[in-house]
Amino acid sequence: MLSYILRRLAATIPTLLIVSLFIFSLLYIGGGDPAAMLAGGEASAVEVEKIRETLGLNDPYLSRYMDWLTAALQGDLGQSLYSQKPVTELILQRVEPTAMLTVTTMIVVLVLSIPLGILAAWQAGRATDRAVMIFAVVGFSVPIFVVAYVGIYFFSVQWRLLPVQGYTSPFEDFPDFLGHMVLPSLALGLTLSALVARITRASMLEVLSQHYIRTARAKGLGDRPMLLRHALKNAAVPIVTVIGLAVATLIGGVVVTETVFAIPGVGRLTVDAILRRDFPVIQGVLLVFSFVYVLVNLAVDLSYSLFDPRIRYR
Amino acid sequence: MTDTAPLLSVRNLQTRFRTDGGEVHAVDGVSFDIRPGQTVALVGESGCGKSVTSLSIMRLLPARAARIAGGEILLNGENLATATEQRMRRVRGNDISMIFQEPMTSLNPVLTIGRQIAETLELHEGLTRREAGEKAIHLLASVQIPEPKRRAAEYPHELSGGMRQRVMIAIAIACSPKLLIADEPTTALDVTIQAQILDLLADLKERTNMAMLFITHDLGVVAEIADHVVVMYAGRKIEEAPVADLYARPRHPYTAGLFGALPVLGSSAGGQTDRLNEIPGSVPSLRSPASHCTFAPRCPRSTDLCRAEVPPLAGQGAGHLAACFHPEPDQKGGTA
Repeated sequence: MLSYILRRLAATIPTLLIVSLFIFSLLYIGGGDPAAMLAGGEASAVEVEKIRETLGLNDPYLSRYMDWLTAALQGDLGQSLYSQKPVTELILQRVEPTAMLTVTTMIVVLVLSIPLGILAAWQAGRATDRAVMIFAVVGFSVPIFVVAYVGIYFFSVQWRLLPVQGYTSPFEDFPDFLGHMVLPSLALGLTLSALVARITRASMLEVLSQHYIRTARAKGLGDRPMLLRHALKNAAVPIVTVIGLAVATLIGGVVVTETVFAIPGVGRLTVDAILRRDFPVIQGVLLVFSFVYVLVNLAVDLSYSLFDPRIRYR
Repeated sequence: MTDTAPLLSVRNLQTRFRTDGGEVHAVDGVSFDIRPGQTVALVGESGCGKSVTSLSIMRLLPARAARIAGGEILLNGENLATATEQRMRRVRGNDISMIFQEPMTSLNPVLTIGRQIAETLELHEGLTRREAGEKAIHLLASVQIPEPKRRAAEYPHELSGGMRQRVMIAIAIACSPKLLIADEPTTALDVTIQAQILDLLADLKERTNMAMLFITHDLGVVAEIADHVVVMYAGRKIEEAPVADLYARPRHPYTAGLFGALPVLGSSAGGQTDRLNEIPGSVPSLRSPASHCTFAPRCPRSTDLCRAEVPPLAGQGAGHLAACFHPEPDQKGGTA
């Protein structure tokens, strides 16, 4: 098991290399001139050229990539072109709000989707099932920012129940933190809940038609132990897979959500960096995102063996 | 034996399935009794309604597709056909338990063997988890599983098909049921394992005086295990007799046809292979209730009467009934 984990982690290195080269090339091709942005509107061509030279932007493509890579391998993701601060430091400063938003969103997703999915499968074909499926279709179709702005309009502006924007650390003021997290987590979580609920339903339906469920009923088990003890554990593998994918989707969603709700997280950092053509920051953030993504995938794979004794890693 | 009150009495059972083309009369007016300690075999080919009959007794039919449209299922006088789901949960696994045709898929792959047995004990006998776990090991031993303690901690995929069927039997007998329904329990197993499972069931019956409803299409198995046989065709009971009597004098042409389809040892002597006899045609659709003998289209003895009226069940000797206008003659005299 341990050797499996180590091998999987080692396998992330080529993945991350390819990702980094891809991002680097994309920014190179994508254009936009950070030097011009830094110099401002009134700067002369000579001044811009000077800045470009000092930033090393005139070096050949591959040599720039190799320089960046060597530094990155030593844990140095470079400096922000804009604030001159180390990228690692910038990211670390922004990690907490994003991590917290991810956690609260996942709580929303799990609490909402799994019970709904089980309920729908249990009541398959009946009104409850149809209601859950309608929720799933609507929830999945409405974009995050629509849910966000509608939520802000009613809960914050009209009824003044929740703060409009911003972020408070849970370590400073927990109730205030919760207040700030309700709308962003719901906005982000709705789409994902819809997705996870659908998969839970489908997976449970499949399991409920199995012979061992008939055996469970023939023992005299009621619906609750039949669903939760016998069916859910068997249905878990696809559900966990989709939850893993949901976490990955969350990374994209976080960018939008943090922007709408003015949460100073990694998502906001990314958007700001893209708007300023702050290449080292974009690069660093995307690399971290990819690493998290790979880790989530590994965690999902490992969790399979918790649910299904037939799956063993060696 | 006939004067003891029946443990289970199925009376005029009607089970119907909803399909796009209308209701299918899967079981149409089937009646039989099972006395305490008795083994009744329910025999017939695929699709004749024998499994549906057993699932009706357990009330395990798919709720949205099937319904019991009429008749009674009396367990010690209590009608299970109209019992509440809550009541049925006390009956299932406790008074009546069931083993199935598919040992490979009937156990939950993600729970240990011991857990799956113990669960029933916790549910019906109110044992603690620990007590139930210990009793589960004893039950594994009683179905002759070697190293029961180690096996109890294993998962179904670590066991062979025969072992799994033994585990199913252990689950079924955990709460000492009065009736065990065995739905083709040996069909999916090797012949040698089949014999072992049949021996085990016979042995358990002897020790516990449990009654058994044994569903099968295998007449060889019937001779080994049953006291009494009910033959079904197209959702109806067409013949019923004590096992020895049925084998000696099958009266319904369908039953006679089933016996004719059995291979006889030494029948291919002299290098010349005889084809086994078959019953021509196939089972009719069950869309509408029968208005004539459903076997008539395949029957060598059928007449216009058979195609016009449903033959009633008529007495053919002690405990022997057959639904046929022209029953097979008594073959004892050898005048075939």
